[in-house]
Amino acid sequence: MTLTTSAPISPAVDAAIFDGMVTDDWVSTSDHRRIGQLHLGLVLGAVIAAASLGIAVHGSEGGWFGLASSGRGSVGSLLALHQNLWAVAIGMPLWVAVGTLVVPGQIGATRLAFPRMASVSLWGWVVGVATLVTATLVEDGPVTFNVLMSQAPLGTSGAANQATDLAIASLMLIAGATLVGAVNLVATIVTERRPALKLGEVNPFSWSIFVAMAVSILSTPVFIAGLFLTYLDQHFGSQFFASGAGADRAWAHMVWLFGRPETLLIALPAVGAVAGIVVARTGRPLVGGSVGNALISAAGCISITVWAGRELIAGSLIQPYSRFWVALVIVPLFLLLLLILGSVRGGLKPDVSLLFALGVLLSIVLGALITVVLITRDLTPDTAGAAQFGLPNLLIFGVALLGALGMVVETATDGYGRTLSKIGATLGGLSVLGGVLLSGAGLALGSFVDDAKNAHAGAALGKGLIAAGAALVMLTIVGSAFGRSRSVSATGSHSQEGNH
Amino acid sequence: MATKAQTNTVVTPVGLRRQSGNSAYLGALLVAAAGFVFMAALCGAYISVRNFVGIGDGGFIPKEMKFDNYAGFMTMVSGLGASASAEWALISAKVKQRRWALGGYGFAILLGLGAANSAWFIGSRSALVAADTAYAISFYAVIATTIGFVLLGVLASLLGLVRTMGGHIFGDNVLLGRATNVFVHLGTAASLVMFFLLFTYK
Repeated sequence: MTLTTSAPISPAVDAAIFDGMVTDDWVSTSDHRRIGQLHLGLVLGAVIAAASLGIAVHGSEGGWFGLASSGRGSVGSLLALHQNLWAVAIGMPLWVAVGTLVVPGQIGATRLAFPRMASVSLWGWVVGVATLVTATLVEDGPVTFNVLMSQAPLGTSGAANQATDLAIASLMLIAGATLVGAVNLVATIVTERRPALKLGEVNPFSWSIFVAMAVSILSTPVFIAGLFLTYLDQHFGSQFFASGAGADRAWAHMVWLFGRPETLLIALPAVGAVAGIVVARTGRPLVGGSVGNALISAAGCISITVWAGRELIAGSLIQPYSRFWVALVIVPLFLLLLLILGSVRGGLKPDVSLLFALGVLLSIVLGALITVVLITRDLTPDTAGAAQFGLPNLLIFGVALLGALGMVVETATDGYGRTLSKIGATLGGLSVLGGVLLSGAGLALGSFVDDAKNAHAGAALGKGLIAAGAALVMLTIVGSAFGRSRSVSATGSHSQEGNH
Repeated sequence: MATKAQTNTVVTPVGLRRQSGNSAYLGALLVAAAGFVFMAALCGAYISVRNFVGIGDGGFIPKEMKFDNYAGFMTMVSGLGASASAEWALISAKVKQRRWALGGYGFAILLGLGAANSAWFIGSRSALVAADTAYAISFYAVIATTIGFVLLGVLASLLGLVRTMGGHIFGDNVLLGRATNVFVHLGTAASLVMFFLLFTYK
């Protein structure tokens, strides 16, 4: 495997990046760094917003305060917005943003394959999220708003309102923007990489982005088609998702969050990020050569097979790892984790990014243990409620957030032109990790002790920590840029201190 | 707080750029793959609704529905003709026959518009009301998707025509032409799917 080392950014390029940060416009740029920085900043803003909604929802469930039970601003509508933000507006878009920022540098490319397409992806996402939020404020909120979390088809009520239309349109727009970003990243990795770098030898993180995006290209259109058919059902009374075994299956595979493969793959680049961080910190490739990349590919292939097969996970109480074939996706990832641990032998150069990598590992191990224990318990829909919220928080979204932030911190010198403040990044990392554990493991463990109220209160606290941690990382990045700005103003030239 | 510079990162040195036409072709293939999956999902939904409603007398397909096989066949044949013309244009561009290439893309545009018009004709002549039956909405969903993909192919052919005029698709430089043709073939595939679902499988 080709081990890659850092190439110093020339003062001219460095100055160009910095000038762009303070003077040039960010709207029409085609520079992957700027688009990635902006995309990541906005997605982290969405993380903070979604976590804040989580505080409101779990705080209400935990008895901190009371929210209305129906109508605009009710627990249900806030929960729906919270879940839709995490599942559609944050999950894969987070990796599109980090990929846009980091991947070209990892493969020796100077640009993305389609720079303007990256802008389309970014602004499509922005408009989609704005529409999604607007949908909750129109009329009494959307009737079919919580389509993603509903295991059973919504039926053909034909009770759609303007808010429903907005919600469906926003989800289609965000999914479309993610699809465009995925096409761009796959094309970039295949066609723009340094000629001497073979495809199978790219950095594990870039490879995991490649696999996740390739699967996303195949599965996102099905989701968009599902939303299109939902719209037809609600407006014209068609029977695409009418009640029945066939419709249940179609719904579960097309629209429902945990029935689609990209849900399982939101966490995949996080494991790739851990591998990438370990490669950078040890200064050596992973043990086993290209086996690591092969395992990542295997996870992608299995997820597609599970999705295309007859596996019906609707009705399961523990999501998403409730059936044998779905759980099989974990096997290659587990083997990859063993490879990563094997590669650590010989010492690591300490860095804050390792904290995030450790957080990913801890979350996966805890999630796996909790899943195994929950499977052995006789759960009912009532007692499984907290676990159903907790495990996705831990195993999917928590792991993804920790992995993405870890990769951003690790590659900050390439993405932002300088390393980030260690204090800020460490505090941010600890806060996010604590939040993920509280809102994930804490909430799931609530079902052990049948103390849902306190579990929700803990989850609310966890969401607060996630919001604070994400904000802290954002401030650290902005602070680095301002620190640099001050050094430039003071000297009248671009200071190289703290750079490569 | 400034920190020490890293000695190892995961960033590679910048190398030579590859040919950008490769990106366009690969990007077109990826978008086409997404389009095929979209159509497959629609097919699955159509078949699912058909099986759910049942295909007995007056079940899935309303009695008043009259199938115009000729129009369906013409849609499919026009689509296939557009694909053939686009490929002809590409081969002509490869052997530096500029006029033939322009003619090929011109024919592809006309045949594509013909396919879209034919699909529109099928929809407008069906006399079904979309909200009335499950079949009607499935029928219109398939027709609308076909028209959308065919028009995308027409747009790509138009782009191919302009690119050929500007000399961007000529001689050895035909990767953009290949990318263009992928979208034309996607439209043709949509017309084939429409013919299969609405006229053969029913």
